[in-house]
Amino acid sequence: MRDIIRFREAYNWLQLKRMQIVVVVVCALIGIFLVSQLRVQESISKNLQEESKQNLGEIIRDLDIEVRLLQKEERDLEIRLLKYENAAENQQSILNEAALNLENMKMFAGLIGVKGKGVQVIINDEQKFLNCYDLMDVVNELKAGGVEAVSVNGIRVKAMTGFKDDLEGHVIVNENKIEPPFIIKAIGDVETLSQAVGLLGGVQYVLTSYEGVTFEVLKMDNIEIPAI
Amino acid sequence: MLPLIGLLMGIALGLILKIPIPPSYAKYMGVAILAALDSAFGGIRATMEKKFDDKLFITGFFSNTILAALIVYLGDRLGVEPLYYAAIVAFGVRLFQNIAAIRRHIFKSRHWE
Repeated sequence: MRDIIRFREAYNWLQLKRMQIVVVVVCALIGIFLVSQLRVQESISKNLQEESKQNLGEIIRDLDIEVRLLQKEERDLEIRLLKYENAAENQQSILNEAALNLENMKMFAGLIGVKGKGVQVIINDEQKFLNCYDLMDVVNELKAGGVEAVSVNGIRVKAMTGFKDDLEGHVIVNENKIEPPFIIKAIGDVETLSQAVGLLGGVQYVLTSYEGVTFEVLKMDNIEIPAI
Repeated sequence: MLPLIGLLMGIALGLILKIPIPPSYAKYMGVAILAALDSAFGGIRATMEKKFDDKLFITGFFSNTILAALIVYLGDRLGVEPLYYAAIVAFGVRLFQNIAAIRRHIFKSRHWE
C-alpha cells in the first residue's frame, strides 16, 4: 500500500515535471518568435515594400517634385549653353564682319591691290586742254557709280588723293605729274560704271565737246589696280 | 513563475540566435505569434480553472499556430487577403476572452468581488 502511494507520488511528481517542461518550452518558443518577429518588423519598417499607401504616395510625390526640379535645371542649363553658343557665334559673325569691313576700308584706302571686272577710260588730249577738274569729274562720276578702286595713269586714287594743276598746265595727282593720254582704271560693276561716265550730258559728253579730246570707255574683264 | 522564466529564456535565445525571417513571411509569423499567445493565455486560464492538460495544451499550441499561418497563406493564394483579418480577429477575440477569464478568476480567488 505504501509502495502504491509512493508510486503515485512519484508519478504525480513526474506529471508535474513534464507539465512544467512543456510550459517552459512553449513559453520559450513564444519568446523566440516574438523577438524574431519584432526584429523583422523593425527591418521591414525601413523597407519600401511595407510602406503604407499614403507613405508611398508621399514618396512618389517627393520624387516627382525632385524629377521636375532636375528637369527644370536641365532646361536652364540647356538655355545657358544655347546662350553661350549664340554668343560665340555672334562673336564669330562680328569678327567676320569686322574683317570684311577692314578689307573694304583697306580697299578704299588703297592699302591693298584690287583685281576684277571694271572699265578703263582712255582720254586723249592732244592740245593739253583738260585740267585737273575734268579728271576729277571723271573720277567722281565713277565713284558715284559705286567704284571699288580707281587709278589714274597707274596712280591709285584713294580717299585723300588730291588733283591739282601746276603752272605749266600739267595735272598733278598725289604729287605725281601725269600727261595725256589719261588712262583711268576703275573696278566695279561694269554696266553701272560705263553708264555713269557715258550719261547723256554727262562727263563724256562734256569732255568730247572740247577740241582734240577723245574719250573711250572699255569694258574689261580683268583689271588690276595696285596698292599705293 | 515557470512560464515567465521560459519566456525570458526564449527572448534571450531569440536575441542570441537572431533567427532570420524573410520579410515576406513576416505576416504569417505575426498571426502565428498571435495564435501562440492565445494558446498560452488559454493554458493559464485552464490552469486557473483546474483543467489544464499538457497534451491538449501543446497540441493546441502547435495546431493553432500552424493553422493561423496557413489561413493567412490560403487567403494570399486565393486572392482573399482579408482572410488575414479573419485570423487576426478570431485569435484576437479569443485572446481578449482568455485574459478576461483570467482576470475574473483572479478576482474570484482573492474574493475581491
